[in-house]
Amino acid sequence: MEGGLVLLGGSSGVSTNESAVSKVEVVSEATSYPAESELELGLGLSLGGCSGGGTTGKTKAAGGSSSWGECGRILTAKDFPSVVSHRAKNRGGPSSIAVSGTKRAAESVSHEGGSPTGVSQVVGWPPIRAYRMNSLVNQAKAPRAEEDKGIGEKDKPKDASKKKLYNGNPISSGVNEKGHLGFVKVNMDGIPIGRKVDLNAHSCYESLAQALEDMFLRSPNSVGAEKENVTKPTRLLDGLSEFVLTYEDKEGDWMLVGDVPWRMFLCSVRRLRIMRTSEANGLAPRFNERQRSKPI
Amino acid sequence: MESSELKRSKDSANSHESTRKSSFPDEVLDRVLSLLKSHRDRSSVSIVCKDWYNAERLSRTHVFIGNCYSVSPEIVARRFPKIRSVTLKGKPRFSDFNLVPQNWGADIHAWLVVFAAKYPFLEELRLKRMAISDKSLEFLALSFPNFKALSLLSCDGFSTNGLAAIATHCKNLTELDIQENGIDDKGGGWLSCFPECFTSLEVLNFANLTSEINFDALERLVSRCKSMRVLKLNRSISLEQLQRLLVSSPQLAELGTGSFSQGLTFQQHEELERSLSNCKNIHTLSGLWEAMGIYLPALYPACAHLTFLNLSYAALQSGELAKLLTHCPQLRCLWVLDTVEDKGLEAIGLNCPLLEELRVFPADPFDEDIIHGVTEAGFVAVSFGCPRLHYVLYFCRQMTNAAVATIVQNCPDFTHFRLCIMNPGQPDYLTNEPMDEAFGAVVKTCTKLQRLSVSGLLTNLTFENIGRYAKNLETLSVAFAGSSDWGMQCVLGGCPKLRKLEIRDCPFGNAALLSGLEKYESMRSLWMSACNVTMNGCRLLAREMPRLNVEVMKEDGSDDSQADKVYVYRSIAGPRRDAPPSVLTL
Repeated sequence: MEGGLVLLGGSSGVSTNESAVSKVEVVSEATSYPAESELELGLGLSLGGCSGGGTTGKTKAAGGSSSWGECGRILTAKDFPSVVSHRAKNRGGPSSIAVSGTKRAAESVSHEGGSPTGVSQVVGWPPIRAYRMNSLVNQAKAPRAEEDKGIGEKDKPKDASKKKLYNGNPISSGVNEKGHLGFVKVNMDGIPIGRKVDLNAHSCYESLAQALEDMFLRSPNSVGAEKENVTKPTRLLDGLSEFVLTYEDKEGDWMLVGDVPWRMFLCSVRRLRIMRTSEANGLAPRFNERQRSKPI
Repeated sequence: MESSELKRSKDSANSHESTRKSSFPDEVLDRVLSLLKSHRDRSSVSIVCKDWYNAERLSRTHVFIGNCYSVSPEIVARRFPKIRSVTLKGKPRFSDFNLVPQNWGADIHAWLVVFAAKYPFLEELRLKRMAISDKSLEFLALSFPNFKALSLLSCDGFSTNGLAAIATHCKNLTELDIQENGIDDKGGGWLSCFPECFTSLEVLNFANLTSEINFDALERLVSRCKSMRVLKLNRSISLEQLQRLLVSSPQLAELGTGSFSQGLTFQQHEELERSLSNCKNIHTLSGLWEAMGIYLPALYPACAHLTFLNLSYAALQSGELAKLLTHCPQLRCLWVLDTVEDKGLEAIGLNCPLLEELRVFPADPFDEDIIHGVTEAGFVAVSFGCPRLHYVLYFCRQMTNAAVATIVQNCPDFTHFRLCIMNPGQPDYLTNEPMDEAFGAVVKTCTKLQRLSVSGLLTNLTFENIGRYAKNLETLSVAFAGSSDWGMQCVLGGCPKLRKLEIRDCPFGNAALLSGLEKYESMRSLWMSACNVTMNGCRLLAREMPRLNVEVMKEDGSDDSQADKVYVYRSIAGPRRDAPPSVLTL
């Protein structure tokens, strides 16, 4: 498939008369269906940066989907909800073509690059009963809850090889209609079991670091508690403790947490790792100069 | 015996052909009809002639209503006076995926009121996608002294308080089957409401409730209900508790374990294994939440006669599954999570030659940063090893046309083919072509196909093929597919046995909708959401076809002219009067 703005490239069966309309539409993100976000037209890719490419759109209450879908994506099937509900705002007849064209565009674009892009955040898709989805979430929470308040009584050791393949929580960094979004995986060196943290529950680095410290270093049920002799609270952000907090960004690079503005961090973070300071030396040249990192 | 009786009666009927009324002895007809269980057979019988219609309706004891709004409870009670068992389905299937507004309808209460008056001897009620309140459950418990079996699947509107009412009042209860429902779980006290003298329970399924129940009460209940054959526990039950239950109920035929992850001592593990091996009749096994690989061997002795293994809540790895399957030679039906990956599916192909049904669910459907789950390779591996496979539900992230062609070549007997390529509109990942060829192969090869769910990038060609070849297709589910109206027109113009058509996010508009005018009366229902259908198109449909109910669900903020969600169904009860404001009946 061609890259760039050719939104309909590559799919042989799609009628091409729709391409003219769809090429100029860059649809804002929406979290659910019906969506209230605005449709803003503009040319350009929305690569790089949270609010790139002329997409604005209101985000909904709980942090919206600010971290999802805006960065590094042109159009994805995720845009369907807003597309569908914005048919209304378009003109009558031709809009139906525009809509389907845009949908076509979204579909074909979402798998540019060849690698499976996974599932978008379309309401009711994939077609799994709401009950089953909830129960997969609950199952993940019972042994390893990510909230500060509690951990289920059935915490259990799982060996690392199991953990690698199945996390148990189907709601990662995506949105579903229940509003779970902004979850990223967090692993800590030396602890085989990872956790997930809801980034949208935090508004700054301090809060995030505090939550992670509680989760990994202080919780009595934490599996790591036996393995790591952590006796005093550590500060993950100050560069002085045994561990540092790092993240993998959308380009696959590992960066130190705290360098960029919080919202920009939200856009680019894919997962977190609490790394041993000794291993973090090669991470970023900035690290050695820093004594204390402050959120901006 | 009956056939010779029939023959004699037929001969005597022929010799009296001058008489107006059929001289086929009523007693014989009644006797024969009493043996007919299938509601389709009974429907066929009822249209033979007036006498047979009457004989059939007076002898029918079980009624199946696939769409609760297609008929009214009064009409049902008038036609069938002797009903003891009712199966009712309510909301459109897409309500399972949150596409239907909460207060849409399908409330059971009006039915219960009529049943209380007309069928006081009602014994069984099986509901799917109905709304049922605690008040209704209490009303049910108090109105039918003979009530025996309650089964709720995908229902909502009730809480565990309603279950308490059932447990308290239904003295003859044999079955309480609470499957995946939107139930408000307020606690496990309901189970303690079964009286101490109550011993009739044969089926108890509370697997999908989360609260802890009083284990002592459960243990006493299980040990005094000697006919119990189905016991499906919830997650709050530990392995140790499971072992104690098994000791008092070795006769179980279907077992749903609780949580399978408690830390057990060696001795406890041995005891569990021994108790399981004492259960010689187990043919269905499920539950196994948070299953830990190290405890699975305890199951092995119970697996010798296993025909249905439901691992869809147990995140097993391929090796664990493979080892388990070597102990399940009789397996006919297997549900797994995609954590087993292609290697696990290969193990299925190697160990389960009798397999007829496979469902692979995604453990992590929204996770995009790790590539995992199953691929086309796993499905192909299963097809080579399991030639009897006829039912598949497969969630995957990649598929190829060539793989599907191979699969149906290996397994031409598919009756249910539900393939979900999870990224909407994704093409063949190797060739970048649409997946038209894949589904073309399915409909051309699998002549017995009754149910089809399509996915991936699809053009009208897929629907041309479906219309032309899928002669036995009854249910079709389509999402993010098709190129234009013509696709849907092909399906409506072909597929002689089509009963249910559900479509979402496709470029089908009024022309397509209106091409099926006559067809819809022979179907149960049509669902179209996020397509290009307008209100005018729906109004036209409603005007032309007065025996169809045409309902449109509007969403906030959408254009007045767009018909966001359309639900069309045939009905002899006329338009319904209980629709919420967001549902417009045209």
